[in-house]
Amino acid sequence: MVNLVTSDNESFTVEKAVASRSVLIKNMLEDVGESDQPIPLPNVTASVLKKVLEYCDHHKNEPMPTSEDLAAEDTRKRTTDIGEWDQKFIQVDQEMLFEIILAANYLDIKPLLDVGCKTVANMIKGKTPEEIRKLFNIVNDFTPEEEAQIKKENEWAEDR
Amino acid sequence: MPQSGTLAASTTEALIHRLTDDALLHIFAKFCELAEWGRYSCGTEVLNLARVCRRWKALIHGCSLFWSRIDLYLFDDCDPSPRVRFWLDRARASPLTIKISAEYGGEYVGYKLHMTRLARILRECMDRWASLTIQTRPDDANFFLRDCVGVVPMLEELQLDLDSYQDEHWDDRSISIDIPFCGEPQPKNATCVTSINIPRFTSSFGLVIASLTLRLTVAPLPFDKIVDALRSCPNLAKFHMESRTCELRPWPLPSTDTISLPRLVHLYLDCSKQLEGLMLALMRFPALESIHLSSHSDYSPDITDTLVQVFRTCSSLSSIALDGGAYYIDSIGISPTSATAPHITLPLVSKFYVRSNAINFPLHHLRLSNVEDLHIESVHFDVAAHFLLNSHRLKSLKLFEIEETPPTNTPHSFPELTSVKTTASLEILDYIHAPQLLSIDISGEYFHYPTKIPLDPFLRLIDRSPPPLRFLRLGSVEFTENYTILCFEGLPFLETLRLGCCSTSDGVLHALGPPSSTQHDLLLPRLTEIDLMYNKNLTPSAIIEFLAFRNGPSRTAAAPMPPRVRGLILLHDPVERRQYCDEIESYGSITAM
Repeated sequence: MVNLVTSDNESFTVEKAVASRSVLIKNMLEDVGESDQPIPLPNVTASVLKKVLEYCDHHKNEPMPTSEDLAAEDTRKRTTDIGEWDQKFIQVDQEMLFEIILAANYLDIKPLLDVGCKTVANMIKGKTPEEIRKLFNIVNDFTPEEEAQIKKENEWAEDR
Repeated sequence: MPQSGTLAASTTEALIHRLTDDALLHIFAKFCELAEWGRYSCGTEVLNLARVCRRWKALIHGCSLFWSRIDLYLFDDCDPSPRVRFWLDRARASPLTIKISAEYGGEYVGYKLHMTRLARILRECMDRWASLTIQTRPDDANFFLRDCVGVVPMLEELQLDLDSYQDEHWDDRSISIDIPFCGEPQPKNATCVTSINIPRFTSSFGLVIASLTLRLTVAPLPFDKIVDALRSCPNLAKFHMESRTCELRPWPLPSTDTISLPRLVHLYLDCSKQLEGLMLALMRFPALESIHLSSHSDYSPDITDTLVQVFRTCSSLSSIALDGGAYYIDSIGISPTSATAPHITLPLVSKFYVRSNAINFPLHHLRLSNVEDLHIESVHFDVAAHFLLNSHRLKSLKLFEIEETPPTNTPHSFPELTSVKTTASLEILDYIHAPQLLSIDISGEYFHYPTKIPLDPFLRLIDRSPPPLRFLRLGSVEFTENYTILCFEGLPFLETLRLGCCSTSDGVLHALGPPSSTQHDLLLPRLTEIDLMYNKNLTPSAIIEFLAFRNGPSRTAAAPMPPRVRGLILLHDPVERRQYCDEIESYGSITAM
C-alpha cells in the first residue's frame, strides 16, 4: 500500500497498482524503494485526489500507455472518443474539471489528462470566440485596435 | 460528452485561467484533432481560438504544432499566398504536412498565377516537407510542380489525386505527372507515393521511394509508362497497383528488359489477368514475402506458367492471396499440361487465401504444409479438401461457398485450430475435429434473412470433441429452439454469443435464464457478452426478462450467480425500439437501438 498526503494535509492509503497509474508517483516509488514514508502531493487537494484515485482505481488493470501509443498520438492517429465510463466520470462542474486536468498534468497521468482535455475541446467545438468567452467567463482583453488588426490579418479566413 | 449546461460556469471568475500553459496547449491540440476528425478546416478553427483572449492568442501563435499542417482549399480568384505565409511564419522549423485541394475552373486564367506563386513560396521550405497531398486537375498540379525543383529530404508521403474529371480529357499530360523532386545521396527517410496518375520520378528521387501505390482509372492503360515508373524505383519494398481497365497501349506492346526489384517484399496487383501476367513476367523480386493477385475475368491467356515461376523462385513467400472474384468458377483449372506438372512446395507460407479460381491456376499442385491461416471461398470441394487435409498446423480457417461437399464420417484432426468461420458450407465441418476450437462464426447465405441450413454438422462437431468454445456467432441462420439449447449445453465455457437476423425465438432466452425443474444447470454460465441483432421472433419482454436475471438487482439475492453481461440489442420493430430501448439499457452496459 502507498500513503499519499494532499496539500490540505489529508492522507490516502491506496494500492500500489492504483497509485502507480501516476508516472510521477511510480517514479518516486521506484526511487525510494520499499518505504512507509508518506508521499506528499503539495499541488493536489483532497477532493481532487479522491476523484483522481477513483479514475486510477477503475483503470488499474489496464496496460500503461507505451511509447508507441504516445508516438501514435503524436502522429494524430488516436481517435477523439471518450469511453463510456470516462464520460460519466468527467461529468463534473468546471472547477473540478480544470482541477482534474491540472492534477493529471502534475501527476503525469496521460490518459486522464486526455479525457479532461478532450472534454474541454468538445465544449469549445463549433463555438464562436464570443460563445467560448461566455462559456468560461473569459474577459475579452483585446483592445479595439488589436481586434481590428486580427481581423485584418485573418481576412482570408473570414472568406471561408 | 458532458452537456455544456452541466459544465456551465458557476462563478464570475474565469476558472479556465487556472490551467497551466501546458494544459491549455494540450486542450488546443485535442481540439485540432477533433476538427480534423470532423473534417472542419482546422486552420480556421484554431484561428477562432486565438481570438478569444490575449493569452490564448499568444499560446496558439507561439506553438508551431498548430501551424505545421497547411491545409489549402483553393477556388476561383483565391490567392493562397497570404495564408501560406501566415502559416509558415508560425510553423518556424517544424516538418510540414501540406495538402492542396484546388477547384480552379478551367476557364479561370488566374489559376496559373496562383499555383506558380504557391509553388514559389512553398519551395523555399522543401527541406521540411514531410507530407504533400495534391488534389486538383492535372494542369493545376503541373503548374505547381514544375516550380518545385529541389531536394525533399524529409518527405515521407506523397499523394497525387489529379483527376481530369472527364474521361475524354485524359491525355498524356494528365496521365503522366512529372515529379521534379530530388533525393539525397544518403537518404534518412523513405517515401511512400500514392497516385491515380503515373508519376515520372527523377532518378535520385526514385531511389528513396519504398512504397508505390497506383490506383489507375485511365483507359487504355499506358503499359510503357507503368514500366518506366516501376523501373525508376529500384528500392521499392511495396508495390500496389489497381486498375479496372483491360485495354493496354501502345499496341503491340514493346519488348522490354526485366525490372529488378531486389527489396520488394509486398506485391499487390488488382487488374486484368493480362496485365498481371505481363507484370509478373517482367519483374524480378527474390525477396518477395507477400503476393496478392486479384484478377478480374477477361479473355486473356492464363498466367499459370508465370505464377509457377514466381512460386518456384520466391523462396521467402509467406503469404499468398489469389482472388478471382466472388463467383464460383465451375472449372477448377487443371489443364492437361498443368496436370502433369510437379508439385510446388512452399514451406514458409503461413497465410493462404483463394477466392474462386479465375486465374485457372492448378491449385492441387501447391503444397502448403505449414499454413496457419487459410481462407477458401467459392471453389469446388476438391480444392478445399486438398488444402484442408494437407494443413496440419491450421490455427484459423475460413470456408465460404464450398460447392458439392460429400458426406463423411471420418473427421480430420486439427490440434492447433482455434477459429472457424463459414458461410453456407456447414457440411464441411464434418471433416474437422478441433479440440482447441475457441471461436466459431456461422452465417447463412443471405445477409438480412435467415437461411435454412442444417446445423447438424455444427452439433456433431461439438459432440465429437466438446471444444472449449469462447465465442459463437450465428448470423442469418434458421434453427429451432431445441437445436440451440442442445448446442448451448455443450458449450459451458462460452463467453460471447452473437445472434443476428436469425429465426431464434424467446425460448432460447428463457433457456439462458434461471434453471427450471427440468433443466438442472444454468446454460452458458460464463457468458459476459451478448449481441442480439434484428432477430424478428425475439420479443423485447423476453430480452428484458433475460437481462433482469443476468444483470438485475435480484441477482444479489441468490448465489452463486453468473457474471453480468454487456452487449448490443438491435430491435427489429421501430415501434418496439421507441418503447423498450430505455428499459433494456437500464440493465447496465447494454446498448439498445
